Amino acid sequence: MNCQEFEEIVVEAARGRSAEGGLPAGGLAHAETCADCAARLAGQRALSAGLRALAGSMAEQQAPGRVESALRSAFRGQTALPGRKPAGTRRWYGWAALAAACLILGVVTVGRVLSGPRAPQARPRPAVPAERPGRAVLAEARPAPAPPKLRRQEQSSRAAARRTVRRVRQPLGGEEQEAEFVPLLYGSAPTPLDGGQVVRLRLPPSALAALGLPVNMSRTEAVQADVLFAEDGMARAIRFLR
Amino acid sequence: MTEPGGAQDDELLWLMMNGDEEAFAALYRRWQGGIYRFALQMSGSPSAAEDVTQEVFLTLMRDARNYDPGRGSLGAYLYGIARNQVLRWLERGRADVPLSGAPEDGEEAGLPASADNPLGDLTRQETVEAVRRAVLALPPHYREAVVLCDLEEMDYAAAAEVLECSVGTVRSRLHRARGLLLEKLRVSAEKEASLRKLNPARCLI
Repeated sequence: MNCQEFEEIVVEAARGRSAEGGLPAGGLAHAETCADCAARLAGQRALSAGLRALAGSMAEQQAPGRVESALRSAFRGQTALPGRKPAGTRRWYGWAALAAACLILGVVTVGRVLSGPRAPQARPRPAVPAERPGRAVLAEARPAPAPPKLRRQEQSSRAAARRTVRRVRQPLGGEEQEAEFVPLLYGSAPTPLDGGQVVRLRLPPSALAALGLPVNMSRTEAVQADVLFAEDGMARAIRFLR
Repeated sequence: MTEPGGAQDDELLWLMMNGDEEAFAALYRRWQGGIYRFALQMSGSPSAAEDVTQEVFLTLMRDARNYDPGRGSLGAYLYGIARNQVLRWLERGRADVPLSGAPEDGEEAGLPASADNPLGDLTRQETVEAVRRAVLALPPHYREAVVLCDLEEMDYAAAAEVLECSVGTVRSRLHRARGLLLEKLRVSAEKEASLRKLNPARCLI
């Protein structure tokens, strides 16, 4: 064994991690004849002993007990948080919401295309206060502030705005008669709404059929309806105008 | 790595993720000692080690889903978080003065003295302090190799998982680190020896 080969094995030998558990016979023989390598071996062995002493002096060191107490409190706080559900559940809800949004978007788009060049008559409509659940709440829609875009449209045409407000304030008995809102349920029971917006649309019979509503397919003209959108953008209910 | 009950870690983790506080406590007690010592040996600061330990287990609590058993053991994952925390702490330049413990009663005799052994003339306590100071003076990437392989007695493969590098890199870093440690210990031993040779001046007034 030469000095270079000795250099490669001396650290592992001093750490007691070599295959032989120490210095192989060839290394020992080399150390006996080479003073430099013998000194290197002595230094590495002393270092290993020093490191073992340091490790031994710290073997019982542990984090203070207050760390465990704080972590346990944090754990309890975390698991007590309301609404924390496993990731899989959250993912399922996310996909369901996305699918529902796509369905509504598709219906509205088809409705626009089939209704021809006329633009859908979107108007600010009543929001729904969260007082009573289910159909009763949906039937008691009240006016809500219009979104900024609609407000700007109203400012540009004061007369149109007045007409709009008048129409909102006289839902029954005016030019159009409005039926009761029918909930559009997507696999869940109707829930009270904190707010929302009613948008008036002209829907083709095919769109109504896609919503699962009874429709006379022999009729081709579009039907005017108010669709109630919740604040999450989901359509929750529909009512038809006569 | 000396992994206590590796097969049970996954089970405890699963229970913990389902809200079992005792499972979390069991994981904490199983790993906190090594994590705390690693942070202490890397930083030299008990308060930093305490913060790092707390942060490691808070991260486990919050982001346990990020742990992928396919990429390594839970121990390697926890040590990896601790390492990142410690390196961040070191980057902020908050390294404290190395700890110096009080001498213990009945100190053992020092290591056998020789011309090539810089620790030969020191008592055990002095040896521990000298080695501790030398380890803390190493650059961080050499220090972590010494702390994991020589102080925490991890094998190269486990250390490589924690350090996110190859086994060969761990090995070469450890060899280089030990060479640096010997140099530092030799220099400090020479300084000590020259100080001892100085005769104290007498104050005549």
